Amino acid sequence: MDFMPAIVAFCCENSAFRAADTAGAKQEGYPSNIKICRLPCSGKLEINYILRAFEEGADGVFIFACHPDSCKFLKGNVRAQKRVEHTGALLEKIGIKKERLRFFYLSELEWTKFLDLVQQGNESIKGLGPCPTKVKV
Amino acid sequence: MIIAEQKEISEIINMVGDHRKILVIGCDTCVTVCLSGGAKEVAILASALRLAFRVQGKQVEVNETTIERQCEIEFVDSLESMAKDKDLLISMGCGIGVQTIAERFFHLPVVPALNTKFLGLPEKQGVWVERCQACGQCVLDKTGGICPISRCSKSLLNGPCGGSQNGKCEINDEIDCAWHLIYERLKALNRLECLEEIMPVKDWSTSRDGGPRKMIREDMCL
Amino acid sequence: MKVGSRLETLLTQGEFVATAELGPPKSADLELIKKKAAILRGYADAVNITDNQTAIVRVSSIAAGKISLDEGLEPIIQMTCRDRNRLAMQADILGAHVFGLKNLLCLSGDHQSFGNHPQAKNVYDLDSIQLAQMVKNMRDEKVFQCGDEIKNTKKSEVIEPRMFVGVAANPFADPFEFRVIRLAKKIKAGADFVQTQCIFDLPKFKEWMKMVVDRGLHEKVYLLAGVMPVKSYRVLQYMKKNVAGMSIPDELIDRMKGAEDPKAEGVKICIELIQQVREIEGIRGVHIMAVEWEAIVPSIVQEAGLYPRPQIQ
Repeated sequence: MDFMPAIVAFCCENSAFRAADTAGAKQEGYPSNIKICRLPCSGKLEINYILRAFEEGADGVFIFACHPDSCKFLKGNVRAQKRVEHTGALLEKIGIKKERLRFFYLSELEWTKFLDLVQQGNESIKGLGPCPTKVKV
Repeated sequence: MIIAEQKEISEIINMVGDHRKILVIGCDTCVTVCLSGGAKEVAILASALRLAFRVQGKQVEVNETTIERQCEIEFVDSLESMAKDKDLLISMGCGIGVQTIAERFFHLPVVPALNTKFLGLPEKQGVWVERCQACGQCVLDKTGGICPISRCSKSLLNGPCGGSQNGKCEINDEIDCAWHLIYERLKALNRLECLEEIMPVKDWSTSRDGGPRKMIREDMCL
Repeated sequence: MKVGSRLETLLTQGEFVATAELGPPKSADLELIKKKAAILRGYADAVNITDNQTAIVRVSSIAAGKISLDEGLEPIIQMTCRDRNRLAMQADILGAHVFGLKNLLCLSGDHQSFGNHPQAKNVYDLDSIQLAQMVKNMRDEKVFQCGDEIKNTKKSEVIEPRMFVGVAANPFADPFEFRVIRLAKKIKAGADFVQTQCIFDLPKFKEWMKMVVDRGLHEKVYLLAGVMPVKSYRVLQYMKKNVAGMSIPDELIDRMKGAEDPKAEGVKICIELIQQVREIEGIRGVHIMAVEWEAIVPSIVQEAGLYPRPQIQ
């Protein structure tokens, strides 16, 4: 059977969350294996949210933030990006490929791009296979 | 406050070795404020360790807790119930915290997750700087409130060495020349004459050089 | 006279002195010390023996100083505060005296992060001013830093180490206005002579010297102006960029760049500087820092009109 990765997407409610909502309503290839976590701003993202997602069985974690200079809270998006970079490095050190963690900028209107990104992301995570944390002990 | 920095995760994993039941212990005081060993960092480290061991295929139980102050035995006492079935304690406190836990839980190994760095303050978000070396004999009254012991790379007491340039230390541009700062402050205070006095050879016996230190206040002893 | 070293004697005679520098080898190479000493013999009234300069391990300044003395030089032992605490310093000062060494230059020392052991623990038990004061007190008060008399047993006679005390001064470091205060402190601490950081920026040096003379400091201490021959413009560029507390005018870099024979030009600049600083009120000599280029010193001394060196009267 084909491997279907479990993916958690943290979405800013001011942009990607709405784009995801629109994409879902259009019923045009919205992947069923994506779990959306709504954030009041991508700046609310904590390193631990990402780690916990992997602990709970995610094979990939995607972060969607507003475009640079478009953050409702001014710098939440760039701060999120820095945190994602830091977390990527930490994941590598504990044996999880940093490619399992992806960061994207997206606006509310870009619902087709949202679909493209998650589909591409989905494929790349499929390519990586199941996250090594899921190996039965 | 005490400033500390988390060790590399690989070093912490190595310290865990073959232990299987671990408690990661945070501290709500200094290391929480310097973002290295508070409840948030405990959650991250515990989670990262669980993931790392799963990747390695090892069955390791990692629990977490954070106490008010690791440097006081009364607070460390409260770890008793959580610690009793563990085979390793990981302290995310400063070096004092690690030792207090070691003293209290004599038969349980405790390892440090942090490198304790210095006594200082946050200069801005994410940046901490040293301000005191606990030399045991404060000279700040003579130096315009700027400490040459901790802030001059050579702990000079009688002015800047020949390497002071544009207000920066010879060792790198990131470090302010303490004596330049002292000069500017004393000038502003109209007290430049302080600099003409030769500061005598320092008595380092009140510093670490006098051996491990102890303070006793008879009036406070019970 | 305080010590009667050759350096002190010539300065007291009123001679314009010339000192040079001998960098001990980074290996246990006795012959190299002798070779360098032979080059300098007769061309410098005294020679600084550097102490782990730029924080790189070398033959100790006292050992190299003793060899230099035996080879006919008058050594000035450099001592940094970086590598020794007060016990080691005083032991070495006693040792230097026992070897017949008579001049000591008190320095803070380059930070160990510049050298080949950046992970070393530094000492800085004393600073250079406190060191100068200690050396002077050992000589004049005949006491150790702790206050004890310098004698072997209670009944023994006092035999104190007698050093002609030198210090460094950097007119080009910051804060500029503090530099003269610092020199005054060094003199108050007990400095007998001063060697300056190497001068490339003559106007700034003159400005500093004016402040020195205004305070009358030139009458309390023998001031020797530091000069350095350079082999290429790259050396100047490097120092300008990487050595803290240096002032190097761009014109000088351009002049070296444009030179057909840069080495000859470097020597020429050095000689010009010697002649110019000689004219400045309060300058009692020059200190020629030919770092790892000891061989050039004789021709600089000759061409600057400083040869032959004066004799003790």
